Amino acid sequence: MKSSTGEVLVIDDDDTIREVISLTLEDEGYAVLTAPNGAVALELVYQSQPKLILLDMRMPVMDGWAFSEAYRQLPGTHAPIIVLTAATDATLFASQIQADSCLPKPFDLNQLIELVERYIS
Amino acid sequence: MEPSGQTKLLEEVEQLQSRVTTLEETLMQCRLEKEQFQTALGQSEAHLKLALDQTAQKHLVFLAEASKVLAATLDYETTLKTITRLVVPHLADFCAVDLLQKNHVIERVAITHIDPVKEALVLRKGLIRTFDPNTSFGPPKALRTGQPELLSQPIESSAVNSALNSEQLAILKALNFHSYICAPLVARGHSLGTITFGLSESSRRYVPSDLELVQELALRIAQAVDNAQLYREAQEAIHMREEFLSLAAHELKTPLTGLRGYAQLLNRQLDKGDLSDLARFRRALDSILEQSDRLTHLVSRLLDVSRLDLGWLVIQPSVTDLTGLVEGVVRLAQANPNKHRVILKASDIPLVVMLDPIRFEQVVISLVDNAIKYSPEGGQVELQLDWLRDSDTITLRVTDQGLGIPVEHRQHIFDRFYQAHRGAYLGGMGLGLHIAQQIVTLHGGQITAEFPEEGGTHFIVTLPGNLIYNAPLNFTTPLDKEV
Repeated sequence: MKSSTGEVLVIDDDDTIREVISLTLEDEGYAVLTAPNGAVALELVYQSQPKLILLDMRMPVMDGWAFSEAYRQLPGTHAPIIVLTAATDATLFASQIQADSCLPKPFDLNQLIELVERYIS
Repeated sequence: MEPSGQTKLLEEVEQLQSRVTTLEETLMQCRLEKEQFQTALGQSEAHLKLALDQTAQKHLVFLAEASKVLAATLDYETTLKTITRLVVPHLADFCAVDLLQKNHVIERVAITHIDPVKEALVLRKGLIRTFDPNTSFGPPKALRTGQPELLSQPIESSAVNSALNSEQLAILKALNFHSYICAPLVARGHSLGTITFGLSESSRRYVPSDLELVQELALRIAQAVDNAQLYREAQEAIHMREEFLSLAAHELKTPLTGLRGYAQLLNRQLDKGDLSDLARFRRALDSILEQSDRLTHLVSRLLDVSRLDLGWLVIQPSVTDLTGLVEGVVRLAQANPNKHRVILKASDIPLVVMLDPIRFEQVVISLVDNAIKYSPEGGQVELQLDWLRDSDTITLRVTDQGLGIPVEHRQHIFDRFYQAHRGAYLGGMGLGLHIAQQIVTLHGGQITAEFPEEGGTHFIVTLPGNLIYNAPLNFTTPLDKEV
């Protein structure tokens, strides 16, 4: 088990998916923050600087497009964004917001861990 | 006989001879003129025949050209502009095509005027013009009656003044028609729009024989527009289906992600030999069951839609305690942790009704789920069950204090695949209300919606009173039971 290597911010409106990702990444030793939509996530990035953001696209209140735009306008450095979406246009959505990577749902937990490891070393 | 008498007689004979000669000359002259006249008449007839043949020939060439233009593309807005340009100036000084839109507005889609200044005026004043459907002349009349109209003098000003607004009057005055033909575009028994030919600049007037050409052109335009509209509708249906499939895939993959995730998480724990945290095992298994219920629900809704499409959705009515059924749904909703207060107002005396309990429960759940889903800020969701003796109807009213439904979406909320708040990503496939309405219809009832000004939405399910099985004599209103 690794030591806590950084914070991952998981933004998804589905409670179960947030839980599964949190448990998996926490088991791997990452500190995880979660938010059910972009608006809550923006509040969180003010308080802590996550090293990686896992972002769902279709969410109520503030969706992935609006979040990424607002986040990139914040001063300072920005964490890489991995798009997590069940939409058929997963790669299109990822390119629309110039995300660093994309993981279509449903995903394999090993894939998720590998991807997170790649961005947080 | 006296000599003087003889002379007189001779004079008279001479005079008579002279008159005969004059008459003979006149007769000759008449014969000559008759021949000349007959020759001229023959030439005129020949000319007239030639002229008619030439006109018919011109009309045929025009119709062939029009057909070619109409067949060239399914983009009828562009095509119709070409057609009006073909008509002016040979057949009219002004030509316009108006089409009936889905919202029953008559829209002017193409217009050409011999005078570019006047054409620009009409265009500047707005290509899209709405007509009062009750107007007693022009496109609205032709649409209403399905018959062409020919006018060989200006429209009576009283009729015009009452039907048009000041801007339309100004346009009509500028166009200054003294003769026009307006023919409906009829395809498969429906009037799709009209074509108008107008004369203003020349001294020509339309005559009844001109109707034939305009009607022939109208028929060809109508067929082309009808084909193009059918093609568009088919394309829209395909597009909608694709969008729905993409949405359905998204909706199915979301619970699948949670389900698979938890199953893999359990596997990983087993791989590590870590069986200590039994609470975590329990939580994972509960989640897996929950997500599989979600999947089952979604798949059932998808099956319902295909059953409805095929006419296979049938109801199996049985004696049902409707009050108890609604109460059950309310208790279920109350048990879910959320920001909403769900209450039921009903009579203490249960309403026992003949209906399909499983399907009707689905309707009530759908309405309550919607009320909760579309009130993201929480608030009260109230169900009120009543039997109105005056109208002999059973009503179930579900009211929320949520987002309400924007005016432009209201007429579509019961449509298949329709979501009034799609951009809000609140989930769902746009099927709930559609299926609910179909189920209620199968029971002989209906669902209507009200949109109070203070916000929120009221859905009212109305069932016919004859579904009541054993009418309770002591049924009480007002409703004093609260759950």
